Amino acid sequence: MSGPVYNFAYLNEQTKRMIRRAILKAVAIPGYQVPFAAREMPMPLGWGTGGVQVTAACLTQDDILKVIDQGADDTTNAVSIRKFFVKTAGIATTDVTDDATIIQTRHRIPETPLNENQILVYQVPIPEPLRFLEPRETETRKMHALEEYGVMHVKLYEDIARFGEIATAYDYPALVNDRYVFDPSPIPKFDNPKLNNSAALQLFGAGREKRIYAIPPHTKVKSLDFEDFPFSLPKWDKPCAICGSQTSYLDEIVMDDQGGRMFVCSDTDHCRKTQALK
Amino acid sequence: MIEVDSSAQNQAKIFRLILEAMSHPGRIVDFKVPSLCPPYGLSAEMATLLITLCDFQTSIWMKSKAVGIEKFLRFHAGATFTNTKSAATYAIVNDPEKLSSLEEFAQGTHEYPDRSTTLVIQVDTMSNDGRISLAGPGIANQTRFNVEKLGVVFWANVAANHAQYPLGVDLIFVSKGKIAAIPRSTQVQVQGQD
Amino acid sequence: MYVAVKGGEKAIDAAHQLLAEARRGDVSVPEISIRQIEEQLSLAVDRVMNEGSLYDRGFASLAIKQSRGDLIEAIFLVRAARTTLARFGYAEPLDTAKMQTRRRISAAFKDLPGGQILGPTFDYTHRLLEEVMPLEAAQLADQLVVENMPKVLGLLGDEGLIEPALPSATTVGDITQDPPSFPMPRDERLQSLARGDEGFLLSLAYSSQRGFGRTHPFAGEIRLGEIEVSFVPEELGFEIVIGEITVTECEMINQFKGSADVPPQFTRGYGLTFGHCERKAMSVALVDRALRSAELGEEVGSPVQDEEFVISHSDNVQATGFVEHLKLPHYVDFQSELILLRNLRKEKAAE
Repeated sequence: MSGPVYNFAYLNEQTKRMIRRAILKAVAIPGYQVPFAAREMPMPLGWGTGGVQVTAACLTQDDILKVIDQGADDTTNAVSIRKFFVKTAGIATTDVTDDATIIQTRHRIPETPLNENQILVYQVPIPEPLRFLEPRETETRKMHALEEYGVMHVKLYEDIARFGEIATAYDYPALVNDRYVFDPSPIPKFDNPKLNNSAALQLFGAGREKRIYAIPPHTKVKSLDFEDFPFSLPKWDKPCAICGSQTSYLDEIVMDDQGGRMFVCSDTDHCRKTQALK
Repeated sequence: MIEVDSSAQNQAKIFRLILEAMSHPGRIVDFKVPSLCPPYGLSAEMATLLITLCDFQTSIWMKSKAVGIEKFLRFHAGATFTNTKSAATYAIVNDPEKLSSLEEFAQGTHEYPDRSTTLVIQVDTMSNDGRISLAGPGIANQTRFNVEKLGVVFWANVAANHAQYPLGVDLIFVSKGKIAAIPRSTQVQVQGQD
Repeated sequence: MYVAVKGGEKAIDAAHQLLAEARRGDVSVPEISIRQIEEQLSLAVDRVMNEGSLYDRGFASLAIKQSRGDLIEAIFLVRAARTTLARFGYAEPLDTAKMQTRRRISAAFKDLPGGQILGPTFDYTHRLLEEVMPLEAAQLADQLVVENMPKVLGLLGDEGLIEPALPSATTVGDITQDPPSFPMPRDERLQSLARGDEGFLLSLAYSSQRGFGRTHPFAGEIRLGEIEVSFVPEELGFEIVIGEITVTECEMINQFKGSADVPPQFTRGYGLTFGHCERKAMSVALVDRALRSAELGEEVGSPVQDEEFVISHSDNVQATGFVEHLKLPHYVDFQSELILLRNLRKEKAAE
């Protein structure tokens, strides 16, 4: 018995056209969230369906796809999404950042600098950076329209008053092209500097919330901060226990119940590459 | 099983070229299009672009409607047509030198700046030289962009379009085998004689 | 030496196999057929069609089997299948007055033209578990089917006692083709409610009855029956019947409203569902009316009257996806919180 027949990359052509139009508008207005009529995909909403729809609308047969979650290619949801595209689009996949033409990611930006022939597609749960300060879409849309971001600065300032520093460790808001405050998806703030002036096109898809936004290549992205409290990066005391990298984002592994910990690269491709260089 | 639909594959490739142009304003991208025979007044490049992006949810404006073109795009894309510039999702512009302003097209709203017209402009030749300098998102430093026959008035309109960012229209240029774009985010400057 | 955790792919394959076994259960018990589900769990099928937004009893039955009876999972399966289907166009509006009515009740009048028809209902059954429920235990009742039964609210409308039911726009929106935006016109709101979670809408409707956004409802009319769906293909240019579907319709009569210019009139709440989904149709009608509070100049303050709150949270496929996504790994973000928290504590200790 033959299985069901899918259109290339699952979506029907009309849906792809609708998404493609939204992507082009998103690129023309960096950081602005373009509404789009997201469809239900065969994986749950909130599990990357926005990224999956953006990738599906961009994919050609010649693409080489890499999918990561938490920086790693072999995390369960990354495996599941990669399998989906192999099954429905028959495209080639890779673990190697340098070889990929499209990289779909959840929660990380690869350590390897991206090049201009690559597209980085982010899976986004809540696209609205102001959502937890103002739950209503009608209100937040007005704030963006009026460029009225005072509420965000107040929040960051309250953090400083309470904790002595800005207590946002991931999902750290940034200003795109000096106009829109945007949500970089829940990447650690460690990754925020990579958003700025990237050679690659960055596309963001939020399926459940039905929004697409973009950062074109070579676009200014500035993490929000204050002159006396500049944006700062987290530091680890030790290098990666496997490859010795001192510049990558490290996951903490609990080794035993005696407080034993070790730190290893979250980006598995970067870790492999650094080991090979040794 | 995956359905092998060559038009789906072609449209994906065409879209990526459009996306490359839009992501790198001023870059003149090779735009190889499938052989098709559009009616007079519609280049193969323009026809391919519109078929890739348009369907029953979009409306197209053109200055003097030609029955042949309308019939062709209705048949191939299911697109609808409008006589009102401000209602158009896409506008076909064959004589950009005669375009007195960009303001009558849909500019988007402050809440929804994406609800704006994309102009698809037919030109003879484009080159990366001359007096027009582009800068902004998608451009490392700056780039030059020149379109034959387009003069001061046109570029002043494009600069005015950028001045009201994030509102405004987005421009896509097509010529024989080439495509380029200038979205509203691009700053346009006319350089001095020297 | 620590080796990074590998084998996500193997783990997934193994989990799928375990799921297949759990789905089948004890193999000595006969496997349930899709036709059995379609015929004997028909109300589950109706719910899945409704919230899956796809009228296909076969698809819905298959989805119920595949999901082990988890109806939200079944709804999700149907929605995902729906994504792959190409759209040909829009059917002509249904005229529910032309329904082949099998059940019709009105709580507003004792008797009325067409009469009250109980039809297939749980109402007035004693909810006693019965081990024997074969057909032969019951007297085969004659199914009364009435065509062109007058609408109850129409009877009130003739006297001007109820607001007319006017279309909210010349063209009807489509929430599956255009991203929703607020404020939302009533046609799109009703579409969202039609695919909304039955439990969520039931609770909201209940909250309005208990005083959080009261609308003083009467069940003006509830009807169930079959109705033909017509379509005008572009190439033909005339209407053709493409099939028959079962629908449940509820029209609520609510608190009246008047102004200096218009004498007082009752107002309406409306609910329509695929299949026999009476509880859902009633809930939709109550919530629809509550969401009209602002339009009717009533005080707005309760959850059920809050359009953004109700519409944004009524879709159970969205809700379950996002709630359950917390199962996905979040260790990168958790790590950055750990670093931050350790830092903050270090600074505090140093003070």
